[in-house]
Amino acid sequence: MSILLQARELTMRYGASEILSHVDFSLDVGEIVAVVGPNGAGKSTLIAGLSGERAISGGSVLLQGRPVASHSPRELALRRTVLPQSTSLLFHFTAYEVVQLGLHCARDAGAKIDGPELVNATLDRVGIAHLRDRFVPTLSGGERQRVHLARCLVQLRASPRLGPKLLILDEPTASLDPAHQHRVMEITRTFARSGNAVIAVVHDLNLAAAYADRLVVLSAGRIAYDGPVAEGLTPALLADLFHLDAEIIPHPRTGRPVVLQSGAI
Amino acid sequence: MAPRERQAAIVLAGCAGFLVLSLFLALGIGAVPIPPDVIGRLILNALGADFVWETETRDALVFWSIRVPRVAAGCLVGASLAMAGATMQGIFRNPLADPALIGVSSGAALAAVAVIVVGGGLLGTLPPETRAFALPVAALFGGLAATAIVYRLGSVGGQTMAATTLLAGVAISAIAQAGIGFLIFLSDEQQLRDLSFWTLGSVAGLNWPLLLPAAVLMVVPILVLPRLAGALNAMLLGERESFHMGHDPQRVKRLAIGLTAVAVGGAVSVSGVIGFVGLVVPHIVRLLAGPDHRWLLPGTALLGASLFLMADLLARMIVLPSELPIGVVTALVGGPFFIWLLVKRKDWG
Repeated sequence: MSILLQARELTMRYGASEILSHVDFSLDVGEIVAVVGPNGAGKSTLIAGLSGERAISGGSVLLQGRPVASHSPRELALRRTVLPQSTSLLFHFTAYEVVQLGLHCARDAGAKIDGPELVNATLDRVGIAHLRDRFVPTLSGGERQRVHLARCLVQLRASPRLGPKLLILDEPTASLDPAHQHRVMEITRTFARSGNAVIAVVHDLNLAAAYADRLVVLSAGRIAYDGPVAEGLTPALLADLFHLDAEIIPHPRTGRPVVLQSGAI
Repeated sequence: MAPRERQAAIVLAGCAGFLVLSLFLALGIGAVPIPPDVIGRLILNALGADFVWETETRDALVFWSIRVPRVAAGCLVGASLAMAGATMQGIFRNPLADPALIGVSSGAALAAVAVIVVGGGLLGTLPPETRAFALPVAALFGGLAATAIVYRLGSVGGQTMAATTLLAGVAISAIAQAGIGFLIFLSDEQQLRDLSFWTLGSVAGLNWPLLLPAAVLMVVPILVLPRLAGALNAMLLGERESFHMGHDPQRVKRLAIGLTAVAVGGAVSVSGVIGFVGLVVPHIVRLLAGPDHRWLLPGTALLGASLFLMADLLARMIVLPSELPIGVVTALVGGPFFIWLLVKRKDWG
């Protein structure tokens, strides 16, 4: 497997406080990695550092072998994008128009794409074709989140010749009902499997366990665990880092670990 | 074409048609009426067709030295205020931003008045060509300073707060207006036009030497701002999002704020503070053509110019033989519109 993103000794500081300390992290093409951790562990800062949104304070982050900071915003946008927890939009764009905004970066770079075809196919893929002409500010939180997921997918699919793409999701399922949480995770897994890669910050441990190839547990700015989901999710780890009293059993049908929480410690 | 793009193209064509109509009305109506066919002849004659048509000297004089400068100023001021409003609403992600409402125009006017009153002696030492630019350039920097202050006050942790921005603008406006009043109270100079010019605005009594330097300042942003349309669209989703979509939000913000200050500075230096143009016009265009800046910016320029000409025509005609300041007309239309916007939506924070 080829490495799409690699961080070595990544350190991020806000003023005097060090939020991330010497984090090593790598992501292979085809992989979907879940990043979990208690509040304040540095998950959002990790995303900001990996995506190039904030300058890193130490170490290195390479995207396709090249330092992230050496890419222009457009070069980055052609190769990776970030779906934030929520996006506020007051102006009356339709869902179609918002998703279409994802095309501009590739268009500006000179790519020849059938825009309407890609936008409509993606709306359909994300299951919001029926919201196509609705105004985004009038949609529910979950519907809006799926519109922005479609926008991100369009942005990354619009420049197919540039190789594998990176999709970073920050709490993508926070505003979704359970069925849509699974649908969104399925869509992102399919995206990863088709020659791309996904990093998803999630709070729901069961969702992480059900879809991620690998689990990265962040705690107080350091990586506490990085490896297969089944080995990482242990009652001891949940007690230590999440202050959770929980049992872990294999799902009777899928065999994936399921976290049964009985309370806080 | 995307669903609304066809509609937007039609709206744009309609705005262009409305501008042509407004031009003929504004050029033709007045103490000396000039019918449309005479306007056509005067223009063609100026282009070198004077062997075909004869026109009266009086018509030509009124047309070229009174009507055309006033109408040209009206078009440019209307277009630049409207486009500045649309751009500010985009970068502040605040549908209520308007150069006059958030204090940019008052800041520009204060700087212009300060140059006239305090810098009068200094101005005399400049060569005449530079002197003509002193007022609009001072207005530009006044507008820039006001924008910077309002933006700082209205931004909390990287997010722009709609209500705080507006309130900061109210405060800046009040301070600047007080400054203008004080400076005018101090001055007894002939060249200083009266208080109502700076606070209510007017495009009456403009001549070419006064207009041309400001016109240069207004034309540049009108031509350049539409190139930022894509970046402004992305900006509506947030600064982080626009970065992840391939733009440099800091650069876009600096460019957009700089260009709007140039536009507002140019406009204020010839017309004083005229409110609500930058608020009302973009809302009408958004209602008709949607919020996409690729259509919104040219649309607001066209409609801003036409509506400004119509407002100026009203100001000229309501109280004949006298004239109302145009700011009275725009405020009478814009004020209730602003209230309607406030009532209609309550989720602006």
